[in-house]
Amino acid sequence: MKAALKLELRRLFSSKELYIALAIGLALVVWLFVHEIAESVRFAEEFALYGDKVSGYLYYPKTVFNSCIELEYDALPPILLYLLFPIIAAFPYASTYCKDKKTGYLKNLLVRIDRRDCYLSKYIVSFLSGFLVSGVILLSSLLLTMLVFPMLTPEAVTQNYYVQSGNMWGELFYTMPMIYTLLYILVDMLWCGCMASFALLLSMFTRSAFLAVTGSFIAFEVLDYVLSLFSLSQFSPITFLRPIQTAGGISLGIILTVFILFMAASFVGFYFLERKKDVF
Amino acid sequence: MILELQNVTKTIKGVTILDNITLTMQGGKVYGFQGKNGSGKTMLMRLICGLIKPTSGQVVINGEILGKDISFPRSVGVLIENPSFLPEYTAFKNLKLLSDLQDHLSDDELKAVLSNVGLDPEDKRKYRSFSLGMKQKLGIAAAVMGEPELVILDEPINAVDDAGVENIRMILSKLKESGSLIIVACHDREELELISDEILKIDAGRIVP
Repeated sequence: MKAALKLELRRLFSSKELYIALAIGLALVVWLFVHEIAESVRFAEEFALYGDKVSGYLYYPKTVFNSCIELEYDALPPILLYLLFPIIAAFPYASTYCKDKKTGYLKNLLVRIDRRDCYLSKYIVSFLSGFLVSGVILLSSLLLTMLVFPMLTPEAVTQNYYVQSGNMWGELFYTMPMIYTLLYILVDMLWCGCMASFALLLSMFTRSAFLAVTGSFIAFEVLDYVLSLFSLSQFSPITFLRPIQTAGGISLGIILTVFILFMAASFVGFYFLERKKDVF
Repeated sequence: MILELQNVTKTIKGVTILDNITLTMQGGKVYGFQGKNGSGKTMLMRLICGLIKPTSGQVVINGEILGKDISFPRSVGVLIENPSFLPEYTAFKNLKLLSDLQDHLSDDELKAVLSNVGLDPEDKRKYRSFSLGMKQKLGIAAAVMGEPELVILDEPINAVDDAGVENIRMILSKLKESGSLIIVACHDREELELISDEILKIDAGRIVP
């Protein structure tokens, strides 16, 4: 098992797909960072020009907790990042199983390691790839924002923050925002791992890496759309992944239940069913 | 090494690919499989490796039932159809990765295997830039590294130059002397007769006399 895991981890870290996924995510982070600085400068200049002339004009600075990619609401980069997370999470590794089947490399593995070890190591590394890629992207945004913006404790009355106090962990956000942000990043990392595992499940049905990765993206988007039609958006990973929580009724129970369902489906499918199939 | 196929049948989507094959093969010999395209040679090799499971019957290797006691033969080297390796690595690195899964051969041993098949162990080119013949040689190297007890080679001389074919003959002869059981399928009848101790003809999934 250790040897199989080592091989798959080595493949993950030497794959160009990993670095492409990171580059896409980090480009969005930098784009938002530049955008937030420009916005911040514009606000400061406007206030310098008109602050004392307009009655009730209040200046409230941009802070870490409304400028990092997790907690910004209406700029394009966070919208794109959270929309593309199923692809970014699955792209680095989930497609390797398709490639292994297509090229025949899987045969090289299955005559050297036990099937259980082979499939389990692929499942673990797939989860890890999504977990790590999302973690690097989200933590980079947080750290980059902390370099420039103040870490003021959010005040709901300023209406400068997008997390509603009635949302899940809303109280935590307005008292210990860093804990809230880090906890939500952990939730996102776990979910991105789950999305990568789900793409691995799809790779059971195709030899096309493109289809496995985009299939996962389409599946999550369709699920989001269908749930929104029935006003059940709180059950959609695409919706509850965003720490600003764009739908009401999200709870840790929902997030964990949906997580366990997806993980169980991908594990049962890939580990128990796929490994018993003939390999041609 | 004793390999037994006991009433092995493989059916895929209602089509019988291997039909009630019973066969015993032993170490220290080269068995040549001869047959037309689609006769079931490659399928039989996949079955012996544990890559596919028989619909009925069983494969027994040294007393252990494949798919029940073991998921693949304990000591096996395989080249079935096209060789396949990681394109971003060199020949040496590819062998090293596979060896680390099981045999843990030293760098010197791996380099010796590459030299034996006619590849330069110091070649820094990536697998993706290899010619067809080089890929095939690397496939042979991966199959024979660590001198496995069971070696299965499907069309081993495909795209290999004359010098390479000679190398393969020598390697197989050495493996045979060390007691390995070698199974080879080859379209070149003369070559098969040259390297095999026993030739088994397969037709429509059956061993025919």
